[in-house]
Amino acid sequence: MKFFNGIRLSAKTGIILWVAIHAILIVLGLSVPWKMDSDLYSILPDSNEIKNVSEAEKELSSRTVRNITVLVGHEDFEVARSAAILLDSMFKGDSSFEETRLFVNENAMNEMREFFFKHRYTLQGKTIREMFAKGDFESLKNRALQKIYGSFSMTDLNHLDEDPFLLGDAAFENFVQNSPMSLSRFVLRDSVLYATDSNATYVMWNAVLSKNVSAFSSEGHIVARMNRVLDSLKMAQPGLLVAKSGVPFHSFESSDRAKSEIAWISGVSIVLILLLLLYVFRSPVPILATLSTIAVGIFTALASTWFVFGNVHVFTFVFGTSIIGVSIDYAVHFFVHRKAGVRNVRSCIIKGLLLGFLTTELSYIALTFAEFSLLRQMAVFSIVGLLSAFLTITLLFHAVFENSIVSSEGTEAQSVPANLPTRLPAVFLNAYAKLPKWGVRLIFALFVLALLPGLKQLHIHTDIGNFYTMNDEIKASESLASKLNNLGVAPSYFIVEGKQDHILLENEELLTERLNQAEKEGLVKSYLAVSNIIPSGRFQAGSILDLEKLVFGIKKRWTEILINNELPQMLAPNVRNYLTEIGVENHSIFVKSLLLSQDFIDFEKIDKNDRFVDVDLKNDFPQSLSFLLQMLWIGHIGDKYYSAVLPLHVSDKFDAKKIAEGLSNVYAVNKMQNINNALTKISHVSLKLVCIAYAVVFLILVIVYKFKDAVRIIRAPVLASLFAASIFGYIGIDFNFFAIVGVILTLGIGIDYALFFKEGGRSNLTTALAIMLSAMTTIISFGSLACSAFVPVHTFGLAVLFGISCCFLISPFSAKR
Amino acid sequence: MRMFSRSVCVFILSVLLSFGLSLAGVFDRPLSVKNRPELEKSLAKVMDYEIATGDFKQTKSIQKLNRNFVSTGTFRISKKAGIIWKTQKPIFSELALNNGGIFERDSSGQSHMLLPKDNPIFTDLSRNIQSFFLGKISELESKFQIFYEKKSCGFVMGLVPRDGMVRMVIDNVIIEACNNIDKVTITDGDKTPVMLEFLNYKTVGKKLQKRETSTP
Repeated sequence: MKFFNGIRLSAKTGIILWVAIHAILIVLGLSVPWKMDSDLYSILPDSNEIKNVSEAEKELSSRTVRNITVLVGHEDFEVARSAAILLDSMFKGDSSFEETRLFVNENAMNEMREFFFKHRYTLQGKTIREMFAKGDFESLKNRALQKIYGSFSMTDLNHLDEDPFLLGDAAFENFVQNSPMSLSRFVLRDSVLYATDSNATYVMWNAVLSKNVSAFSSEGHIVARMNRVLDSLKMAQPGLLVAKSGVPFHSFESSDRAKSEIAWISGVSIVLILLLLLYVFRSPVPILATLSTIAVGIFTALASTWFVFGNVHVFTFVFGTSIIGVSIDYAVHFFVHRKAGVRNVRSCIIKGLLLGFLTTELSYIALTFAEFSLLRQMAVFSIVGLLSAFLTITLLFHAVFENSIVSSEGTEAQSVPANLPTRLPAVFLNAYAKLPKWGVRLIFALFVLALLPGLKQLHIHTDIGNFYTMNDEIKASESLASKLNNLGVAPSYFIVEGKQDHILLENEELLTERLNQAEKEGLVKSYLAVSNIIPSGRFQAGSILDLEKLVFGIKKRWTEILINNELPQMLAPNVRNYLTEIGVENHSIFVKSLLLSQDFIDFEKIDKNDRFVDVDLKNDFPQSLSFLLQMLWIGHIGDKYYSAVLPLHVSDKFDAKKIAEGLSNVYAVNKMQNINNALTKISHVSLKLVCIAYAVVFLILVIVYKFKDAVRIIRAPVLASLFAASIFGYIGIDFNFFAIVGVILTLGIGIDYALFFKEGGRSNLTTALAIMLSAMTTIISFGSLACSAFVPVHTFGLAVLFGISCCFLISPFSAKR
Repeated sequence: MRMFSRSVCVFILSVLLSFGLSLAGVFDRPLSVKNRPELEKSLAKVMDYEIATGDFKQTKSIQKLNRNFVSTGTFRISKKAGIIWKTQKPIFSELALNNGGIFERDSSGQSHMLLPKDNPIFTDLSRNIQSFFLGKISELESKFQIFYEKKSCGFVMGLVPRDGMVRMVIDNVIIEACNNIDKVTITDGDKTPVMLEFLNYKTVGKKLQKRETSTP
């Protein structure tokens, strides 16, 4: 049996070939573990061009995106506390949570005081370090005397013999001043953190979701369960207020809304398409065959994408469904021609089908070069899905359906197939037939002119901030949580890099010098940085050396002092006098503590096997410090260390990039802005790649059809895409990444219409019907997505709706009269 | 943590603004319904002023080191303008509380803000001070267990924080007052007592005594 251009392929060989190709693709997919990725953050492109920095950012985000806070409020503190305890008891130990936190450890403060007392010679803040460095004994002494004799001082004086300058207290104070607690409005009462607002007392409950909890909503999702529990608590306790804060609530809310909305839209569009196909074919066979084509295509595409990428993101699945549209188109063409009585449908439609297939594939192949994994996944998914659909129609359908055909002889369709609803296509074609040549030219000229103002106003930009609008409840909750936390984390922050942990801290210290200046200039209220609490090794060692100089008054090293056993005698006279003044009789206690208690802190430790390993941020530090370090210390990425420095309450004039200027290991990051820029850049790159692909397509068409016809064919999808873009310009909507995906789909599907018209002829009712049916199914299935309130889906649907509608209307001009 | 320390300081300050003196036996006598009006009346009496000024002597007794640290200074409490607490000897330091927050000045003359006015602890403190000034025992009771003993001249009052975490820092406070607040003893979580004795207590704007004297 003739396949294409003289290639002969029997039905049996076709089936074997179909089975073999599908088997290979599916087996390859099955050979790797299947993993569906539903992490909303993982679809975002790298927000920084430097891979490690981007990884560091992702690591930082991954820690915060799973955190949730629930504020349980009531005018009576006890009621709020009881409700929070009930909430905690219901979710403590739940496998969906990595941890839950309500009560503050009663010993937390003592643990912290002990920790900073132990490291009092190394973990000092800038003020005390400067006193050491300048040998400013008077300030050091006066500070301590103020603590000893001042009123309302809570400094523990029991260790005065060991710590006469109260450096443990100073280190602890430095921690407090540089921790988020210094700004927070939450205070401790009865072992819980509470804050007041508008006559209500809010008790804070925190939790971290387990890593395996999906961001997408479902009936048994932890957020759904929490919502139910919180509702029941509110029902049981009149006047109880609840404020929920954290990314998981937003992800759940938005995916829940999108899911129900898309389910409605898909449901309605599927019913409409089925009714349409049933009306045209009057038989369930073409519908079942089409659905099977789609199912096989999706499964094969899924397996292959799994094989190539190791996982498939759920968005790839959603946006890669262009194969559904094309599969329907191919199947529709096959069955319309078959129903029209064409004896060898495959031979009749193969040229248009093959060219359509190749041109669409070329567009998707071009997209595999885009540096955005989601786009690559979508491209691979679509390439394989289209291949499967093409093979199913040309090999399997041909073998299964064409042998049983009992109809007229000949390869051409009847001019007026009686068994098909051709009235509408006839009217459609007549409208074109009546147009004079000059009229067509005029229409095109006016059309192109009309596009220009819209294209001029077109704004190619993606702003992920516009993709999601919070509902009023969540907005109010976030606003309250932000007001009470009062942290004021700025959208811009810094990622600092270092070859080793102490080098990273040194790099941080270079940055913090600039931030201190910015603080003085009123550009930033404060900031969070690890090095403010745990200085670099250089500063830790420097602190001790400076203090030794100050205390001993000479440049003698401690080893000499120890060897000569001249401990108390070596103290500088002013220090000796001071110790006597505060009643410290045995001076050697202090001297020994200074010489022997030099506990350095770094972020590496030696394990049981004498190997250097990273410290355990959670278990190697007291709880309050651990929380802060987990927030800021990113740790090892590749062969370097990374940390974050977070400016708080910045003014409008704060420019993170300017502050980081010239610091080679400091990167100013504005995640939202960077992602928007990255997506916008990817959009431009995608468009360029598709343009290149289209140039190749054009060359192929020139070879196959000659220049003039090639222009006629290609102008339909190109003008349709420009039309869609122009409409976006006219109505002032950002032409974002998802709109561009819609346009790429238009280019992929739309060219098929032009090719089929070219192949079938402008007056062929069968072709017109098939194309009309294809366009309608595409418009119903994809165009209907424009009704979605979820911005990415809406813009995608809108672009396809405008593009495909326009392409359908222009494509009859592709064929000669 | 800082909030915690501050809240403790605030608590102490609140107490000091109003009273004085110590006797451990007071903790055998919880405040009862019967003697509550008596305490309220006594409290109103010692708090009956617009402005109070005087000197104080503070003694921190560190038992572990067998050492006492004694300091002296002055105070000024104005119900309208706020409070100034100056430690003069052996080293100068100053604490001021007013509508803008709480401020500290060190021996070099440099001052800095400890708590801004919008801080919840400051709000709490203001509320507590108001309660003390107005003798609102019920509000005090929400945060402390109150003990009371009548003396031949004045009274002794004991306060034990209800919050376990606060108790880890401040175990109890004993206040002794006759015509004015005479002595306050604060015992911390390590059982270290800090005693404040008030001398040269002068008040301006007494109302009750005037009313009492003007009553026929």
